[in-house]
Amino acid sequence: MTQATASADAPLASGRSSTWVRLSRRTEAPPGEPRRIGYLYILPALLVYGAFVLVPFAHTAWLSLHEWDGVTSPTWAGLENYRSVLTDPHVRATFGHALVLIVFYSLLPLVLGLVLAASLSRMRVRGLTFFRAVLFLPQVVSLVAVGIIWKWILGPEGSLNQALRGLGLESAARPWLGDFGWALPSIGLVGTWVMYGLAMVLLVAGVQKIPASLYDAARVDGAGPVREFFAVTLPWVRNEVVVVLVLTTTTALRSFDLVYVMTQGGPGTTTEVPSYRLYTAAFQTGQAGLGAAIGITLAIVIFALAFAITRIGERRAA
Amino acid sequence: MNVPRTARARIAAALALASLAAVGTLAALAGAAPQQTTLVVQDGEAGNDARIAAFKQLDRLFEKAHPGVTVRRISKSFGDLIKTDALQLSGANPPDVSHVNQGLPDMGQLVKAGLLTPLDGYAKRWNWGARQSAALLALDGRVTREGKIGRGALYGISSTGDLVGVFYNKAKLAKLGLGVPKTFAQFEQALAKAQAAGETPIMFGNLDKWPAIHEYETILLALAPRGQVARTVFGLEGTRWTTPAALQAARKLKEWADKGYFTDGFAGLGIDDAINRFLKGEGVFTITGTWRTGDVAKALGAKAGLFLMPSAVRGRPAAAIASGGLAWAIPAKAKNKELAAQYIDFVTSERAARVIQAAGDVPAYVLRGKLPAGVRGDALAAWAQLNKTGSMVGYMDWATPTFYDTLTAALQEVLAGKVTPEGFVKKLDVDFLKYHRQ
Repeated sequence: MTQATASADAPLASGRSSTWVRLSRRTEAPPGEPRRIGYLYILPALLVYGAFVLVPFAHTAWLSLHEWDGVTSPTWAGLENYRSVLTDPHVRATFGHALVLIVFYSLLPLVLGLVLAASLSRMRVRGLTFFRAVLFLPQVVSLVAVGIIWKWILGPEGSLNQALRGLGLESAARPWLGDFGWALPSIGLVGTWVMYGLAMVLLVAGVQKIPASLYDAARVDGAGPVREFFAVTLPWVRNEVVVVLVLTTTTALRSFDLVYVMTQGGPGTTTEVPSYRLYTAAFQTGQAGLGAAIGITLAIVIFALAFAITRIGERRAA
Repeated sequence: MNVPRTARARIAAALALASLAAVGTLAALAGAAPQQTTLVVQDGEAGNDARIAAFKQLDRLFEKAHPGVTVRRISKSFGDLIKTDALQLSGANPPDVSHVNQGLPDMGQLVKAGLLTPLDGYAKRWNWGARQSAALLALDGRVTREGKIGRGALYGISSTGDLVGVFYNKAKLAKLGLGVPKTFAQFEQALAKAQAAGETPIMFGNLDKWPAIHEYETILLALAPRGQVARTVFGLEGTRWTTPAALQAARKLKEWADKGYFTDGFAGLGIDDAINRFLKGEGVFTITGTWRTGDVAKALGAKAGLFLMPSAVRGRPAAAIASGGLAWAIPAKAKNKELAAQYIDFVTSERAARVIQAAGDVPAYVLRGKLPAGVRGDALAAWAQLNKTGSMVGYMDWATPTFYDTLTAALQEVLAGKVTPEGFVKKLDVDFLKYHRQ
């Protein structure tokens, strides 16, 4: 739109909308339209939300502009903490680790879930509910318990190494969580194990609502399993894919429990993720301002990513 | 707030269960006008049942000596204490007496914020200097107004003592035909011999990150000039970590790792798992704190002993990481300071020390008389020796507020060969000098 048309349109547009508002208020308000009284209904929830989400969020934002050791009074620091988040290699690396975790928490479970859902669409499985419950189990176990169990499994004398030695793969056995190259993927794979149940349940439910006639039609047209997947299954579960991606990437970016329980960010700093760095900065090393800045940055990244995924999903569907 | 040293170890050692110790009230007549006073005492030892039992016994004795006074004890886990003390002590209603964690990140910050009461007047009045060495008082309670540790006014004093030593399996050592090492060279020979015999020389696990501080600093204290490490932990003028001794100690640590002197896969092994295996009879040595003495005595009985890592220099007394247990302090806003000071005076007295020692713990006050047999006696003897020679050194992670993170990550890196010993000491100095020279 050019400058000229924009300004020419403006009075017209505003005139039109004010007429519409007047009309709608007087006579034509449909039953579901928002009215002022509506705010009264949501007031209790808004108060709780404000007290426990908005106020702490604003306080965190305020803290992020200060240097504070948690004991003495805070001093103004401007955007210094945000500069540290963007330039300090130690802090930046934690965001890199979070991206690696997205592959394990989000993409791998999605692929596994899709493969499972696609194969279920081609055959009938007896006791599906039972399998679904078993596969979903990791999702309901507390992450701290998951971390402790996997710490044993991945330990130097843990069952994974014993299995490898039993198979004659002595050279592949290693202290997984103490290995600079393997610690992060190990935590990631635990995340995969936790998240794929969620992906599977959502995607299988999506597949089950696809009319069988579509598969029949595809088969009559001579589609193989791969073609059938891309032509029928995938388009029909698009919304479920979006939900899975939003939930799992958010979990990946926020991940803290597994790192805290399994490695404390080690070996070295190879498994430090933003939430863990936030925690050490705020509660251990007397850098509460930096911790707050990491928190705000993380919230923005999560919001942007969730927004992007939803938008891309919607546009494709349209 | 750092979670340093004995601390992390204690969290791991004891199940951190916060529990409120309910205390029965004891009404008593005090002369003509019976006056009821409640003294609120907070400790950070929840989970360490033996130590708390001794403290409760002391509370009852204090009440008996002060008619009309009731001691109300609040026991928090170590982690809960240090994460909440700054907020709690700055509030309007703090406890009368509270445990405070030593070190720059904890006690240093509390003093800087003006939250603690100086105790020098009381120390002079009751001559605490005769009970505990100047070195121990400096470690446990001396802080400057700027929050630097090891000098300045006295803000805390401990009832108990902790040190990091070498626990050993007597039966294993005898089987190798060896006695207790008298020199650092003999210790290294023992490691080589143990390994040749198919034993794990040192049970060690570093998944929790802090245990390597104990291994490294213990080696460093054997190699470094006397007093150098102690001064550097306090951040005194002119100190730094890029010293020949710190470099040599890093090389030695790496050498031991490369030679396989530590438990296989130590990088991925939790310290509790490693020590539990030692308690079941695996390995010859393990380097850890005397807060594990009770576990060792229970599991290995007469088969276990403890010694201080000998110095590499002939004739120099053994130095060790050591300090009092958590220090007693009086919050600046406490209501009943005089009575609080009397309480602290009592729980650090010789009489209190007898109660603590009888409960199987190490009192900060060194008692004369016959020591119990076994590893408990070894721990008491080691504590007495360090007090006599003045060779106690604070935990390295006390050095700056961020030093715990820097040091533990760098130790994992040097052990895995991801950073050279030269790079390791430089990393320590970057953190250290940034804080102390700014």
